[in-house]
Amino acid sequence: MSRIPNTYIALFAALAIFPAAVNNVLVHDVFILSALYAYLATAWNIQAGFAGLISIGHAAYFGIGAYTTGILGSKFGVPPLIGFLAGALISGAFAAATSAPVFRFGVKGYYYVLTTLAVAEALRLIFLAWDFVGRSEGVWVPPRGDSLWHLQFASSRIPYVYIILTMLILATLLSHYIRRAQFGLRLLSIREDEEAAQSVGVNTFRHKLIATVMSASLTSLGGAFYIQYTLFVEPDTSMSVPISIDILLPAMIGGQGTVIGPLVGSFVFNPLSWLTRIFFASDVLPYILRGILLILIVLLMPRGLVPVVEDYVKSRRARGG
Amino acid sequence: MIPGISSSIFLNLLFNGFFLGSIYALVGAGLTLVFGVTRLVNFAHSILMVSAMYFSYYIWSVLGVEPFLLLPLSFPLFFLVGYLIYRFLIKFVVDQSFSSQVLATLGLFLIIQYGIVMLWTSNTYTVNSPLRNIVFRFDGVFISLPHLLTFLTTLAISFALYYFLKTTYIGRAIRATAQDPEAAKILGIETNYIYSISLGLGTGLAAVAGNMLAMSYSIDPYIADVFLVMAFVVIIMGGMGNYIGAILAGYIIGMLEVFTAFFFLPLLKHAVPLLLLIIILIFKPEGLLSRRLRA
Repeated sequence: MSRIPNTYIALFAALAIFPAAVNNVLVHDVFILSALYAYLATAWNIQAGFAGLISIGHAAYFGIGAYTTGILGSKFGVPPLIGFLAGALISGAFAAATSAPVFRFGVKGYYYVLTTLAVAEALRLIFLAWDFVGRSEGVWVPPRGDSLWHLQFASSRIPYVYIILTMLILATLLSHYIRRAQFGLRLLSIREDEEAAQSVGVNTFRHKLIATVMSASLTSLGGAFYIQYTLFVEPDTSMSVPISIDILLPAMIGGQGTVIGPLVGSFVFNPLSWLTRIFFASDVLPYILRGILLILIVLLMPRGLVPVVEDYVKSRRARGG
Repeated sequence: MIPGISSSIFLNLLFNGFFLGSIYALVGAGLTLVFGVTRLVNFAHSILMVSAMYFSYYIWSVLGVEPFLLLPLSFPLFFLVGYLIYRFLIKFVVDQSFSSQVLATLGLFLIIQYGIVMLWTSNTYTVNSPLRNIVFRFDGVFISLPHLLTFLTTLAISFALYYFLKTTYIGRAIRATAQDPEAAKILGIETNYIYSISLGLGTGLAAVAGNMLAMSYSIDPYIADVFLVMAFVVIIMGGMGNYIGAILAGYIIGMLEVFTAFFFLPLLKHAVPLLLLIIILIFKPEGLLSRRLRA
């Protein structure tokens, strides 16, 4: 177990203090959104950033988490916490079932990317046609006021803020330990050169599968939180390509493959996106902003914000002493 | 003949499949041409097709010109668009990793898609041209004029492009670059120029598909989401970079969708080709036509 860097602790503390200091529902909503997508991007990063398995279909796992918790709660009266676990299990099993043949038959590169897209889109289309999951009407969770048992809080956003913040901090710490552990190093070796990794004895199939299942289960917990927060889910706003982009974008901005990158990226991007929406009074511009950012990141800063800042700090230290 | 349905229903489905297949063939041919030559995975391809739909709608609503008559204008126009996209964006990512290409072209997709939403909102538009109502019927079989025109145009254009690639100097330079960019460079072919031409041609084909689709479909910006995925289904099935494979696969997918919608569930018409794609990706990622007929 390696030490947690001071910068992380400072960041966590700042994130914990900020929502308590600023008591404003709108600010809390943006904070929850940023923390949720920071969490999701951290989960995505374990698979895509560490093991190099770029996915543009993570919305599938997000949707599975939201639907499982929502359906268990609204149709069978199962408490959300059990729904969270069930969602993580189903999502993990789904990821294992779809990824095992993909990895076994050596689907790589853009073929792998397209597989993730195809799986997510197929799932969305099936959900749109499936009566049990409410087709395009989706699933509504009956509101219950303030209830810890039902994990719903109508009168204040603060409980949601700290639930998602806790999830985010735990996920970031998990990511930190994976990155430092031998397991993480093996994932990195697969990302850099899969054949070389295999030749020095890394079981690449097993490692890729574990990373994918882990990433999928974590992502579905984010989906489960999302439905407790919005009390509603439907296929087009939970399993579609734009959601997958929202999940990967923070990691791209902050720096994929870094531990803290997804968190930094999300807290830079989501407030910016929200400000764009408010400032220009437009629901459309934030999406154009996403497009522009994707292109700019790829062209100008493919490694992302965090590595660039780290390099700058290091070179300052080297020069200034 | 399939038992249980009359031959006229079967023929109607078949002709619908030919129409939809033509659109998929055109979109797939464009995308596969771009991939075959530049190795670029272009996620913006389908939104360029949708842009052509809006272009034909706009010209139709202002000047009343039939989308079909617009073809000689929209092909060169979108050729230019593709050329410029290469010069100003793709040129910088074409040598980078596939994930950079995916993300940059997805970015372009979002910019164009929501640019369209800004200009025209996300409402649905329809080109109510008189051509739409011309339907040939014989013995319970219906073929609308737009469908027939789409099929004939697709045949003409895919043959013309095939001929262009096989016989002209630029066509041969494109094929040479597709086979081996380094060798082509050594032999004096300006590969950057060839890449930009290919992206132009691919985009032009997408525009033709968009024009034809605008005659029979209603238009909204989110059509591109479905076609984004379906275009990849087509080109993977045909073998990525395989021009003839893409056209054949386009017709197979078109038929599959039409027959799924009729015999199974209309809502699952896109899901079935996607499941097929997943199976192909796992077991035969090089596509159904394993011999590379790279054009």
